[in-house]
Amino acid sequence: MDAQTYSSSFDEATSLLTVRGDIDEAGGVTLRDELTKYTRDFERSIRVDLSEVDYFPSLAVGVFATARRKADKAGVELGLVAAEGSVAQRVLTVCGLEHETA
Amino acid sequence: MTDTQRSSHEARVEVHELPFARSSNAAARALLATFLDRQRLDTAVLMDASIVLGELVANGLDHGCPDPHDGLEVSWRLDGGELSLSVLDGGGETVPHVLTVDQYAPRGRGLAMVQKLATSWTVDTSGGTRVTAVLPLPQTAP
Repeated sequence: MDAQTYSSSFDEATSLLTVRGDIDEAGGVTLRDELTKYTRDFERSIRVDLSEVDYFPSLAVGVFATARRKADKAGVELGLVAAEGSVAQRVLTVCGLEHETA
Repeated sequence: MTDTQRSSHEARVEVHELPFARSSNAAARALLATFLDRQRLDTAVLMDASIVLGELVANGLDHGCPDPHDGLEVSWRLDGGELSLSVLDGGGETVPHVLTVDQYAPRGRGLAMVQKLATSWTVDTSGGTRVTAVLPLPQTAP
């Protein structure tokens, strides 16, 4: 379980951002910037698939909580997807952040 | 600095002194994963243990200072039906405590996560700040 570098890919057709690796301090900053970029500064709804994230600490929850506040305020959706049995699903459930299990 | 002991009643203990640096978070989780793999524990235990250890290390680095060895000590103890995870830093301005945060809060969820995943957690400030969380292990079939 060595550190897995954060990586992501965005599918314009489905507005789905897929995130992989560790959302550590550096990854968290990148993620925050990507959420702003792909929502066009919270002007459009996107979904984020977190099923393949290896490390999802409270810091990552904070990034999504902040982004969701902006999305809610702007009236767009920030959907979180985390497969059953994934680390993200465990952490989002423990923290009570709304998500769908794909 | 690594020390593995097996006492007469089969408790397994590991203590690691790591640099007081961000990179120690992933390093600590990797060491724990290696240890737990050897014990052939359920992957669900590994997942929860890794989440908890990550939060304890992050808290130590965020709120504590380096210990007398200029580092951060992480340790774990597998004993009977329990896994104890412990992180010791050189002490900080505050005693670790669980915060109540709203759903939009940018931070402050670390120890609340630990509290939910662990059966118990304790703080010892007698020499630095040591936070220990105890996780339950699934009972093995007889």
